[in-house]
Amino acid sequence: MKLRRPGDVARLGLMASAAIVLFVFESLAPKPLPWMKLGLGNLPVLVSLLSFGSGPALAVSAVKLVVGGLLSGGLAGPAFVIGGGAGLASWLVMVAVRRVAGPLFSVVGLSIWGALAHQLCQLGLAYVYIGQISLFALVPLSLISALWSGGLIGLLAWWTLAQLDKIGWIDRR
Amino acid sequence: MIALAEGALWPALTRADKIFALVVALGAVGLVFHGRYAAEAGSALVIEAMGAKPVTYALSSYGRLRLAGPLGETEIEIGPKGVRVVAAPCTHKICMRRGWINRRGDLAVCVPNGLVLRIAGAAPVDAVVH
Repeated sequence: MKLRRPGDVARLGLMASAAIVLFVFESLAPKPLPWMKLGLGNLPVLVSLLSFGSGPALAVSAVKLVVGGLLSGGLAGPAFVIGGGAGLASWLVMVAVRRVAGPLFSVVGLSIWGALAHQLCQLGLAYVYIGQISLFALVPLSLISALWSGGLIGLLAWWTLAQLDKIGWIDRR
Repeated sequence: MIALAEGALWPALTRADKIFALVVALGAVGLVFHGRYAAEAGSALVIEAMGAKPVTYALSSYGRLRLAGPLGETEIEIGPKGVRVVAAPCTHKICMRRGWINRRGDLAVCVPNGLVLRIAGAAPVDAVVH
């Protein structure tokens, strides 16, 4: 992990704490539909990925999962393993897409890629736990969910980055 | 990498973004239609509990069932509209929100309680316990 500027550690810490707060807030907020969880906690991960690079984004994601898991009491349970695996998959896919496709995708496209990886990996890991192939009937719902949540988080990330750019907060890597 | 137009309220979506989103949306719609087209009214309920052999009930055998799982008892109902979960011991109650399921391939799943309810085709007898 390489951070260029002296304030980067503080900025990254701010991102990590924002991720925790959003993660916990979302787990407390009422959800109209359980599958329609937005994944607000991924917003700081996405912002970190674009402003600090892949390593720091993974760090923010890991801190979010561990501290968020501790706070919501789900640490080491199935939901934690599924969420952790899905978070890792989402990070991997976003980093890979960014490296391979470069400027082909905007933040929004990148976010949809991440959400897609998250949803499908979640389903795969749930299958490992439950062991019923019939779970994959939920794939269409996952795709819709990824499109909607990934798109919205991508838009939010774009707006956040645009604001942060104005105050010289990000490095653009 | 990031196209940050000064003062713009809407991000510059690239062509790849739009194509990718369209492909995902079309994929989802296609899969839904494929599922709908292939789906027919089921006639049996298969209950798959973690660590147990599947149990089959006829959808015509109306009544309520209590199923034991790692968290406690999940209560389900078999009625004229199909099958639904009436009460569950888990936090999120995703299985309860699923509502009535009645088409072949329909699912109601409770991950925390290790339970899968699946609608299947023909069941010649009222109940088969393996």
